[in-house]
Amino acid sequence: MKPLILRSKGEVLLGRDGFTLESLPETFQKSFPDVPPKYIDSLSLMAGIAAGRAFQGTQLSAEVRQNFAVILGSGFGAMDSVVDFDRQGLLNGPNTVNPMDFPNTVANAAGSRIGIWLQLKGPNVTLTNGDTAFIDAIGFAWEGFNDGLFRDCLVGAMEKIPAFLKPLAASPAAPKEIKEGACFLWASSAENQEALFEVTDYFSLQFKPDFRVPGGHLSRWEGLWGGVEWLGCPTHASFESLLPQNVSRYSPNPAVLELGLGGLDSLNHFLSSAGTQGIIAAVSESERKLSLIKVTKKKGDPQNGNN
Amino acid sequence: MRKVGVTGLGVICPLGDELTVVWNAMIEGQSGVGTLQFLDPAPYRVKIGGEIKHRGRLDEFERENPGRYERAAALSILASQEALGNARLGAADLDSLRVGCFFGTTMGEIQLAERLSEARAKNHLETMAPGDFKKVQSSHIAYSVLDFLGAAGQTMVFSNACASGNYAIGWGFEKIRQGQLDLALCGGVDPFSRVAFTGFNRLLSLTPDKCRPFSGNRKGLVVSEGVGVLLLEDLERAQARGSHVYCQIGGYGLGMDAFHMTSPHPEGNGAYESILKAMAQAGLAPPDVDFISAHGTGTPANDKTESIAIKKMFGSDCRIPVNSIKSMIGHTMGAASAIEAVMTCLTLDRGILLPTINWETPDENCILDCVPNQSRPFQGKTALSNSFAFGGNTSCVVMMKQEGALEAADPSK
Repeated sequence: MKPLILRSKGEVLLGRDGFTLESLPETFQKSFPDVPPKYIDSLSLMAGIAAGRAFQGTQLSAEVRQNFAVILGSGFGAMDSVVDFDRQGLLNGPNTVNPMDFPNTVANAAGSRIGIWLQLKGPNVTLTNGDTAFIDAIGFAWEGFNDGLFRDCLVGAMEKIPAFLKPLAASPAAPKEIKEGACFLWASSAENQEALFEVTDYFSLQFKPDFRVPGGHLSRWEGLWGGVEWLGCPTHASFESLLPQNVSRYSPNPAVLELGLGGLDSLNHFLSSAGTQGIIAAVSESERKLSLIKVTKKKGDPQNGNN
Repeated sequence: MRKVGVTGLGVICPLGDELTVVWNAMIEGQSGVGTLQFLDPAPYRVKIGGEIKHRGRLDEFERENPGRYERAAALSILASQEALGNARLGAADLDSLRVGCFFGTTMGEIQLAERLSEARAKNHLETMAPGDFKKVQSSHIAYSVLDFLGAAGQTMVFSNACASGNYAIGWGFEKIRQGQLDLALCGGVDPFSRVAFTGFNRLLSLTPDKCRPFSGNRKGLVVSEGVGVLLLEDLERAQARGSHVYCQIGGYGLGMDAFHMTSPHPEGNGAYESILKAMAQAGLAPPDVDFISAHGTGTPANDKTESIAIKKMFGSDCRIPVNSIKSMIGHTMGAASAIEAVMTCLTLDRGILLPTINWETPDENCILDCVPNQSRPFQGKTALSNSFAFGGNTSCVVMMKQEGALEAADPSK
């Protein structure tokens, strides 16, 4: 299978960056003339900022846009907007909610708005895949590209959760910081271009409670690890015996819950590290799921698109 | 590339909680729509919806697994069990196979989200449980199905609003076709949602009385709930074990209007693109298509633009039968495309076209034959199942009759 070539990256993280409407590309807002920006959900706004940073003003031809996909992963999807919309109806009656808020309650709102804004007419896919959403979105992009579903894509993840749910994620012993924001990678099929990195493989599995690799998947699993010199993977006791011990290992800070952005910290670390080939993994311990992508670094500029 | 067959089907919707019950009700043109019980409809402009009324299996499941699964997961497990059952596969059979579990949903565990939202609005946060943090994420639906079956496998949950189920079917088809998986449970699910009902009410998209797809006097859609599951399997493997094959999946197409968040493209561009891609993958030309299961929501805009897309592909005098089972069960949101795919499989397998009920007057802007009001015999071999969504996401799946199907092996007949 062919590698998926990732050309640039854009991200915005709440807490670290914050964002204002001024960060949003002007053309984004003009694409929705009947909807004032205050009625557009924060996931869509963050996705718009991240996509703008990934593209850095590049103009795409109509031909490229026709077969250009948008693939977004998320853990909670539009839950923040769902709760706000519902609360309004509960407190003030269902006939007081603003119908302009309703489209924000579907998880594909952000991806669709990116497609409308940039006139990207290839498949527009939103995955609500929990803690492995970002890696699964990249895996979907790699497989979809090879399946001939599209030629180019924006692939990434987004996360924002209702504030009142955050206490459910923390335990008294280990208060958790929750990573919220959006990230997009631009995967381009154009030749002779500079690339950040390539994706050359993807594997994802929900394990049985014994955490063994099942027989049907074993050869595929074993074939993944050849040539790997670097592994970015959260530390979760259940999965440790599966992972190779003889590679350089990076584990994201366990006090930060990455949720749907799981793998982003490892990716950024990989891009700034010395190694050239590695595996980036995301783990959902409660869903016994491990997803990973195999990556090869090209030019290693982690700041690309993050301004 | 391998061929992909459908060997198991499962469905729960307002017309019943078993495949045969739902199929027979649809042949008779029954309606599952009525005055809402899930919430007090008094403050709403529109007061009807589609609710799962035959709750025997669901109630029993929830009694046996108290508090373990939320509603979307429970429905998905039950429909998956039914699909595995009529494919004559048990959990033990999944052990040695490469299995996928792909679901689509618009709002996932929306009833839990609404309970959490209510707890917040009423300042009863103590009612929230730590486990709710995981359960409210849609990924938990696919996880729960495999967990309940005791299986390992690949999981994906697609949230492309009302087209979600077709995305799941397409992905499962692709992974089996390429030899990555041996079988895949592919479905769509959405329990009844206060948020969806309120939102569509406020958008004035709902019909006050009945859903009349393609009828000149159509007034809108009906919010509903349900689940549909298809068991996709490597065709050669299915035939080797003597399984009944309802039909083959021939291809799928995903498109994008890139036009508006809530209105379809007036020329049906995304719909046309997805039909075109699906037919191209299946190697079909327009004369090869015998039947179309429409998205057919019953809104003035959808039915008109879907008709434009169909006529663009098949000609302005297209006489291909195009039905909408949403006329009978309402719009089950993320489950709609999966339930429609289930019924399309049975249409090919059993040779009966299901009706579009409530059709009253022609509309020159719409397709010519919507199988109005009465089911009828059908001898076609190839069908399309369309599904479109908020945001302009469009999809189409091709299904083809399996020649020489093993009639006797179909336990649901």
